[in-house]
Amino acid sequence: MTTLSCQHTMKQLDDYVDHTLSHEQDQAVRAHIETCTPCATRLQQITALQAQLKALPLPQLEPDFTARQLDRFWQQHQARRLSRRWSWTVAASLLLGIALGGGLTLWSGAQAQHATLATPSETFILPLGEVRELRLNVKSSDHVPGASLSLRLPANAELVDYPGEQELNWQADLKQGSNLLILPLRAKGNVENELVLVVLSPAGHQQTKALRLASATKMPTWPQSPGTALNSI
Amino acid sequence: MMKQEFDLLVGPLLPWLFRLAYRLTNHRQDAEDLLQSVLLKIYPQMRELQHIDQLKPWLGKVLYHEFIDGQRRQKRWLQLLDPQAPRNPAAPDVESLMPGTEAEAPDRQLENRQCHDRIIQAMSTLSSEQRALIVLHDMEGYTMEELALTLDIPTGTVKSRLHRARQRLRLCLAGEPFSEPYV
Repeated sequence: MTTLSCQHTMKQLDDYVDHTLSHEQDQAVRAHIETCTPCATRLQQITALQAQLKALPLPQLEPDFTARQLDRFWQQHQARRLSRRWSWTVAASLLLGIALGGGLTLWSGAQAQHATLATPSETFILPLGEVRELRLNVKSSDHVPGASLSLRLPANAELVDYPGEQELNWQADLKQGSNLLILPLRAKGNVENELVLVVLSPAGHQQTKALRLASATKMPTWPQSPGTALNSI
Repeated sequence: MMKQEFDLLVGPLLPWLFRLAYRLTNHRQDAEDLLQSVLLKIYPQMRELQHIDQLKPWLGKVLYHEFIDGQRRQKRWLQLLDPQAPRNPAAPDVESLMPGTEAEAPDRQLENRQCHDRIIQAMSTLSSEQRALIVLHDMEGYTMEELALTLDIPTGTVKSRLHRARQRLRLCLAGEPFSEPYV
């Protein structure tokens, strides 16, 4: 049987723990560990970490967990089937983006530097219980560093990972050309109002754009003809 | 496809699927959302599902790919929205976790909990793919061959990536009694 060095043994410990060594290699590692304290200690550490990983706790599931999950699935399934009937929006499966077009000009100085916010010309539908990505294309003819963005959401609409927050503010550098803003949105209840995005340049020029959101369980009350253009500022 | 047939086919596997989703996301709501995205994905293929001998590995594969795709989409959005956004998708949902069922002294329970928190934090520093490898193999017992089928990569590649993921995890846990990295 081959006698192994510590360095060689250390490199093989993962394979040893995984039982992926040949019989001869396995025997050689075992023989080395039996006579080498540092390597035996290292093996103990590896197996201890694996034990800790396996022991990480899990949430307790309620007795009706399965029933709830299936109910939620069928509700979403039904909502998606309904949204496909409304062909004036592009049908999308869960988490697929929808490309929207339009234009808005943001002037940030005497120069021709300006940014355009490509705005949607249709209402954005949010089926209840689903996440839909709203993609907005902020076009800028020049680099606009330090632009401030402010997003205001209507009641019952929220951004994934920002539950309960109806207004978000952040700064971003707008690069020359297209700047894609992807907003994964979810309707918690009936949504029938506007999402408002405000873009403010460091020079103080502000542009505001509104987009109508509607949840899928109720027909919106305003006209829904395709290609309806929103007002530009 | 009849509702009852679908429910009977996938219902019994949902607790297991959720467990896997939770291991990957470490967040209760994210795990349930991931579970739902899997159901929505597989439903159109119900006819084929009924003829699959081993539905569990197939569902595990769908879950893995939905998780990875979701992580990539989320990263893209987060970078655009706010690179400094104070969000850690892998932050542990500690409040919803069960305490140990064995009777332990409070000090021991606290020690275990802190240890678990450190491990979860270290796992969150791995890439999504690395985290998935550790979860599927070291935590859920997938064999190398099962991993190769799930990830659609050769077994040798699975092994080398898994070992690199473990090394990375150990480096993150430097100082823990079980974490000393290789020399």
